[in-house]
Amino acid sequence: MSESNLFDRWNLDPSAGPQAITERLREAMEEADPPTAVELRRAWEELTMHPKRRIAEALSTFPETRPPIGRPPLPVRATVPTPAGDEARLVHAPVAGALGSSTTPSPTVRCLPALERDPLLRARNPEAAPLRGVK
Amino acid sequence: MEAAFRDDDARLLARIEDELVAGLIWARQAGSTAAPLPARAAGMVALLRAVDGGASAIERAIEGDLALVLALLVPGSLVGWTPALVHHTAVHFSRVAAALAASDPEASDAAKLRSIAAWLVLGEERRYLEALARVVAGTALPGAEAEAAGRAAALRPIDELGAAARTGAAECADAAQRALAMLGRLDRATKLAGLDERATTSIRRRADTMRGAAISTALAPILEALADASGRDAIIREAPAIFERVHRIWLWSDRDEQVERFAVDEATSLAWIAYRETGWDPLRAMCEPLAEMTDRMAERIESDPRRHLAYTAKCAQFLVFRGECKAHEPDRWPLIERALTICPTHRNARVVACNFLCDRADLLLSGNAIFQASALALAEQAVARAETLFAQSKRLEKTKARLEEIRTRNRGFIR
Repeated sequence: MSESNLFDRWNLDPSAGPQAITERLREAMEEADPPTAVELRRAWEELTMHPKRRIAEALSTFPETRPPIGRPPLPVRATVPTPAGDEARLVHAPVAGALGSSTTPSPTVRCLPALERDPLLRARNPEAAPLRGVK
Repeated sequence: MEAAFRDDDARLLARIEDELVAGLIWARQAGSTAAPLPARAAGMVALLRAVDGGASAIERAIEGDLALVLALLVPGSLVGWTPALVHHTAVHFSRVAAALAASDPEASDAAKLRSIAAWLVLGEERRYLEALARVVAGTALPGAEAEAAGRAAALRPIDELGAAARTGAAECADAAQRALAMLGRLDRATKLAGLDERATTSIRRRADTMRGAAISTALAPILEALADASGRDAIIREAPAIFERVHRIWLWSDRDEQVERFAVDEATSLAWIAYRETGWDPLRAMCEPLAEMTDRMAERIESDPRRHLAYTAKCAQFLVFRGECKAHEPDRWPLIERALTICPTHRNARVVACNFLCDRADLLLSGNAIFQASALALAEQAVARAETLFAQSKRLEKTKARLEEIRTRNRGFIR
């Protein structure tokens, strides 16, 4: 990787603004040893305090043009009996409602947990397992 | 029920394949030991899929055959490519150039030239760089300022070459020499970028200015050395070694005419001092390191006399100097003749040529040769030519008188 480009060196998005850069570099700073911390500090100053240098650095690395990859596949479900018919509808409806949409998952939810591990359902009765239905 | 292989899965697979192909291209071009590129570099492969023949080239690359995709990356012209793809290739080839700089300078320079061509395309297109710069600047800069910073990115690689050429110029360093040579080859990049004549001229001027600055930096110590030697009254003794350094700078600059002009400008007055010294050795020693440069300058003048008008007389004088200090007559005449060719009105060249022709006629008129009609005819030819060059020469009068005397005396004996 090109060490001389600050966006590459610190794995930053070249189109990121000062706030996002600061956030990312602060995260890196938390685990950095002293020499790395100095480098991080220098990179932060370079990229956030000098907009023209930020432009120069951003243009001299690869632009982000990769097509989005979308939603990862659901994890394989545990081998528990699957609710069927009306029972399934009753189980899924409140969960989907809680997530906001019945067709498009929220982008903030990376993947849905299996129902028997769903914290929303288990919060009502932690002892109740396996679920047989919600009344 | 969701399909087993979803659209999202297809996109994920394409991303993985793009990353795989980007890695293979990088390893092939930059070497397997080169540090990997950031994952974003795979975006170039994704964009290549949209280029004519791109999808099949990438399929072949996934199977291990990179020939098509590598050929796709080095088209004869970048015209028609999307700005984003051109941006990717600009960065990609600049990274390849950096990776190969030590191990394969020639391939590195070729990659650098490709990168510069891509930047020139973006600079000419303008809107892509301006828009990207506005996004990156956000609210930190006024729009116009951000756009200007974006446009400047297109010329930065050329500016960097100029800086590299200047940095090592005083030492005639190899890296500086490569940068200098590349500044001289930017026409190839402008052609690849499909720039029009106006843009090409603008780039050429920029490159020429940078070359000029680097060469001036290389020549600056020569001026100091000449001044120092003059101050110590050692100029005639030390000038040959100093002009040997100029010769080295000339070779370093790939025989640039700026160095030739510098040499002729600085050496002319010193050569006259050497000319007045006893014997030909001081002048010969001074002319020796300048011989190749003055020959090259004469070639330039012969091919385009008007462009080099200001230097024809100086160059001719140097050819005369070189001719005069040659020990043998056959070595002298071609140089004098060439001086007359490039500068037919050069007074000193005409005087010296006249004297040489008189010498030749005198030689022909001495000894038994005077009884041969052919020798007499050659002497007459030499005198006639000398008369066209410098008719008022006193030396010529003597030779003419001798010729006439022999002609009269030997009438009837000549075969």
